[in-house]
Amino acid sequence: MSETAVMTLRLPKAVKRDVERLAARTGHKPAQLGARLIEEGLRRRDFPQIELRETAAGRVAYLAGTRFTVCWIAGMVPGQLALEAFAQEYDLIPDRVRAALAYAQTFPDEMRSEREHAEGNWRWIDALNSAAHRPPAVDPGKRKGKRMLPA
Amino acid sequence: MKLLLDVHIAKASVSALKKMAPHLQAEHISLWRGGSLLQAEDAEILAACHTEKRVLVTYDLATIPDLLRRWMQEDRPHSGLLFADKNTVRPDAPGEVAAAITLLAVEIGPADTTNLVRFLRPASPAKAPD
Repeated sequence: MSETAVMTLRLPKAVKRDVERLAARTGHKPAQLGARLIEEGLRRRDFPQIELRETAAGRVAYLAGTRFTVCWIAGMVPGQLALEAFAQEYDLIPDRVRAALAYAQTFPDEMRSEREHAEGNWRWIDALNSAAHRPPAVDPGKRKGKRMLPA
Repeated sequence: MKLLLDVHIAKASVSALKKMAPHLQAEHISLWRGGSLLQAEDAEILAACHTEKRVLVTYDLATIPDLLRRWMQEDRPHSGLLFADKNTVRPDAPGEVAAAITLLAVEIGPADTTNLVRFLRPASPAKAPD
């Protein structure tokens, strides 16, 4: 867990109310949500091309205005495709791809965690597939005309 | 079978599929419905696919499986999901993608794709490194 420090902030009443409302809606404590909003604001300032979105898997970094997660781009460039080729293939400005890679380099723990999560999802889908295509178990008592071989 | 190819898949895969398997009706998300879903959230895309009984083909293993779990818990149906992994079928190789989809489509046949979840696998076995 990352190291934390206490900081007291004086907020306009309306902002405090909004933070509390959003916290109630999302099931977070107001202090947790406030800290997260500040962190996201700082990230947006440093990485304006990156958007943090709430998804079914939690908060995920995307290249703004696209469906590309930063983690996916970092997995493709440069391992599978050179930066320029990737940008051309996916109609992206190369500088935007660079911004995604810079974000990935700045937050390696976040990228690792997302990769591990995706790998876990891969295993889950693989298990679903295996279960769906496993030959149905046959009740030995219903096998007609076939004798069970001795062990 | 109607398909929607997610943003990770090279657009040329649609024309490759038309040549390889003309009976498949594939659309790329960048053009489908005028590109209006190009930035949409996963749930919106899956729901839109369901209105047309369209199977979504995606490389998104980060968030869509989580949404799928949620929908399974809620007994919410979808029209089928074909997941792919960039290490087995290259998303930027239209011929590979089209061949993998065609192979799977042949296996699935005319069966109902509601709630179907499958993995794309290479149409030809991977060559061993020299």
